[in-house]
Amino acid sequence: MAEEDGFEEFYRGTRQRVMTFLYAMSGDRNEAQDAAQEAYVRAWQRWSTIRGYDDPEAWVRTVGYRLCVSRWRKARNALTAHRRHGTGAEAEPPSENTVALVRALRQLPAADREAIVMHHLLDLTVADVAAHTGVPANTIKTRLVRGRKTLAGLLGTDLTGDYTNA
Amino acid sequence: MPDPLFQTLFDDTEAVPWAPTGTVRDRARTRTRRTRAAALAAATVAVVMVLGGVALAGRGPQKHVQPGISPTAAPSATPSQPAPTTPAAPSTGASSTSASSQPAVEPTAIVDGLFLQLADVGTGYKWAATEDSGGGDWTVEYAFSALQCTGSGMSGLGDHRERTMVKGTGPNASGVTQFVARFRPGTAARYLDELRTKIPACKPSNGMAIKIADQRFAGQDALRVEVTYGEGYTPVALIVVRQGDLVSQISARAADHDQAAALARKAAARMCGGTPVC
Repeated sequence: MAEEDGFEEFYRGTRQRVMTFLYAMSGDRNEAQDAAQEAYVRAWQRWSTIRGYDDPEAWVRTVGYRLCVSRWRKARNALTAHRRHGTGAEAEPPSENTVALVRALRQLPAADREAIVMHHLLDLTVADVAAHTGVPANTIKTRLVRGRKTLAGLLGTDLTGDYTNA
Repeated sequence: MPDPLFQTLFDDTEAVPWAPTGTVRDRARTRTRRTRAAALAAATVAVVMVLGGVALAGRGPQKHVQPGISPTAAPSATPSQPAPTTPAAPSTGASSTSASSQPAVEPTAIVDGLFLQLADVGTGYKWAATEDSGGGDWTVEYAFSALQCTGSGMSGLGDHRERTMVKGTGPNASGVTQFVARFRPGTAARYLDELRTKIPACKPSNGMAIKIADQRFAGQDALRVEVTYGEGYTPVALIVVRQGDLVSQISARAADHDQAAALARKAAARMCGGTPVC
């Protein structure tokens, strides 16, 4: 079917990035996976439109994040998670480093966390982060510097990066 | 390449099991079928309401069908940018081509007439695209979740829908999003009472905040809730208004007391079309 063009490739090629972003933002791997999965269902529903976007992954990421923090979705998931995932293979528990990083990220204000995760995890430039969030680049730089400083204090390590010319 | 510090996150999500592409497609198709069925059901009820109103016109004011409220078809504009919270607003497409002598029935579906209409919010607004459901990702319940507070759970929640009116495009666009829900008898009043308890109990950190800024200014009950999602964020006003077993939430950015009260009164009046309390 013509409308399916590219969806499978898109789904396979972007899902881990989307889920990892949601995991970093939400701090809950199961929630992140479920939200990502649901976001791809929604993407497929209107794939004929979304595939024409410059960055369909950004659409899925945004939808996934909104779903991730939606209490309603969580309530619904409580009823449907078992049916959805059945008794399929469970992923290994997260590593200590991941747990520490996720915990530290959750202590950042949401706006700082978003900037840090987009820039340092998704490897987006400051300009791209600004474009995706609709916030001026200088504000993104401020959030990055502030978030990086907070993370360094919490984790005892520093993130690489110089945002002055980013 | 992600920063080395974040590589561990990627490593930990590498082995996560994913639904096969075919399963994703199947779920999407099922969802689409259900949405269409719900839209059809809403349209059917709306037609009954309109025809009932026509049939009974001239016999005095109707208690359950508010005169002057006709289902409004939503335009089919599709956003060119990601718009994940665009609401589902199935066009009722009400038509009077098939005359009917059916009497007005107690409406249960959340039809378009129960929402604020374009004329209620000012000039220049139009209905937003209908293709997506925001799922309430802006409501008081969403705020509880985003602020990591315990919400009410909305026990008693029944049929519900949301619609959005937009004005302008791009960064200068503004909008009014409205959620209307029917609660089980008696539980709508309890929901607002729960909000009065849960909101003051929510004490988020990092510059986030939520408070009841005003109350009891429209309908049988109403709240104006102000939410701040972090330092530097402009507080967002959420209006909650109850009329009988119907509860509406309205997101109107930075609405002050007078604006919120005016909008809430109009919303309460519109909801009179779906409850016998008016």
